[in-house]
Amino acid sequence: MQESKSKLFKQRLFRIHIAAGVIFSIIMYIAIFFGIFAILLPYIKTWEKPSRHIQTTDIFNIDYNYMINKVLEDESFPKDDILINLPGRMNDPAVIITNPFVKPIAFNPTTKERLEDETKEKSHLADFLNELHYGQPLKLIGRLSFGFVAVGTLVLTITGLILIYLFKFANKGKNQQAVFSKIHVKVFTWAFLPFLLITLSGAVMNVGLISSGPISKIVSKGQAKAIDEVVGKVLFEENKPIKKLNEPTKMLELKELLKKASKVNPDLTFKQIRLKNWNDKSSQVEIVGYNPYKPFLNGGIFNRPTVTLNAQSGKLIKNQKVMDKVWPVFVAEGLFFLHFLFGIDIFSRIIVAIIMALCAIAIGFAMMLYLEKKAKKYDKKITFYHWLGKFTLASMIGVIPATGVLFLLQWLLPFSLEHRVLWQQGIFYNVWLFTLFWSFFRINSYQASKEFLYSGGLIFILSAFIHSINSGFSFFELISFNLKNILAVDISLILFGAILIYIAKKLPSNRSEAKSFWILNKKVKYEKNI
Amino acid sequence: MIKKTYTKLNTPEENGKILGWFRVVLSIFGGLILSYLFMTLLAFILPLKIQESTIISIMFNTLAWACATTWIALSYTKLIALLRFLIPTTICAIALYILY
Repeated sequence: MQESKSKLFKQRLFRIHIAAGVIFSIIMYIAIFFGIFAILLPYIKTWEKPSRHIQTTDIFNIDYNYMINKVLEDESFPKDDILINLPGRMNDPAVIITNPFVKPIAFNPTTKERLEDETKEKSHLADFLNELHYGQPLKLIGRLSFGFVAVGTLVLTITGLILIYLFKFANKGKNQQAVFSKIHVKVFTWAFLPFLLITLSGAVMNVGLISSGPISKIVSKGQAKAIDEVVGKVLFEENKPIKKLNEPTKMLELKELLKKASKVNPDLTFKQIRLKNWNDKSSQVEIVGYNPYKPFLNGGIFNRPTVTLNAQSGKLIKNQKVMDKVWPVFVAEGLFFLHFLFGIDIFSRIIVAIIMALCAIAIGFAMMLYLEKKAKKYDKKITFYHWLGKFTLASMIGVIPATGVLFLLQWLLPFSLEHRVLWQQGIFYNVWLFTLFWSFFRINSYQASKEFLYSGGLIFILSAFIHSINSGFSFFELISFNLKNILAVDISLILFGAILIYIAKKLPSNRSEAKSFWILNKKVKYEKNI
Repeated sequence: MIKKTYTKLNTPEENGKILGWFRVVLSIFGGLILSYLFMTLLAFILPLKIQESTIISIMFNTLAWACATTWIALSYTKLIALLRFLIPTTICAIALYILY
């Protein structure tokens, strides 16, 4: 009795894990794949825009007041609540002056010239990759389904952890399946925590917040209709308007105020300035920063340390530090920190990107394990040809050349072309669809995947060269103009392409070769060959 | 009739390799209702201001759903699965009714 109970329990555990895995893993893989590009979004954003091929400079050395006056010359620009994004925020080299209700205006920080900012219709590569990451191209349906996939992945993580705990997988790879299983188990044993945090925050954004209507209504006893009314005041700083005195006064230089703020709180790196009642006697500047010494507690969206100064005397009004919040805010911030990485430097970004890439690979191996088990039934009778295998091939490997095409077209299509973003995205979707056709067309999936990887690698390398030709900045010019971020994107595109070609070269080209390929233990391999 | 259904629900399946529609539907939707009500109740129970405790509820809502789904789907018999959904849901619902 007891024995059958535990047997049933284990069987069901496996069954849930496999069923949920087959249903959710393809979309989860796609979300992670585009998520890795979204992690590097700030760099891609400077790479994709001609207007951002400019040098940046120290934030304490920029004539902000001149730019603000330039902007305020336009009568239609709102006079209150002006936001200034400092250069370096999200790696943007430009100074951006904006307000929630108007189009942002960008300035070159060294020459003080106004930049011709590309519109969404002209250049939309990084943001499009980000939208693909959370299902936005399909609007609410896409976001909800990606959210449900995240919940399904939570189920997978829970059942997977119980499985690892119960079975204590031996991980002694003797055949192909054992190797696949070993990789899947090993990666997730080490990486489940960041993976869980990122998936959980993803699920909160795409399902939790959308479905938060009833909970906020019950909690507020019928008063609040949306969640913002309940938790908004705790999570986000309230932006109370200050009473205007209507006495025009001369303002201090903003760079001097920035220097003062860095004396008040030397731990912060500054990202943004909010001007309240600018050019009035009551004016204040709120300088928003990020404290790199307290990761997970600030820098995301909910907790942003600020220094508020009087704009005409430079007197300190408020110094809000990282730890000045209640602990539920820290919980929320900690959850979202890994997902947003707002103020974070390139080093941590790359670490998160590598962890997520490993998770994507581990998901891929789990899918291959499932398919391999299916294929084993037909071994030596007929060639294994399964719609799920073909579909998985197109969505997991086919997405690579398709994304490469996005990068290639970004600088191949002339910027004067009408509807260029539409062309770019349309071709992307068509290439991706074509890979689905191609995977069904090629009976040998090994060959098809090799072809996808080869072409993907080639396209990624080409896109870097096309960029250097069409942008007018060769690699040497990028170095001499000190545009290292853009050069880094070019180099990583070439590297990524080279890795893809290397993998394509190494992979087995048919099923019988594959059987011995995955066995890392050479001794076993040798015996088998005999 | 009732007795027949009861014995049918109470007999464990012979193998766990197939989950069955009953379990799947009950665990997904039952898990959703259960976790939603429980997390709403949690916002009241936590010794914090309601605005602050709601943050915790919202943040872990989906994780609770995943846990509840797994918990219900893994029960020994169908009857236990049904009870795992019904009993806590009723308790949460009554508690919320009192607190509201």
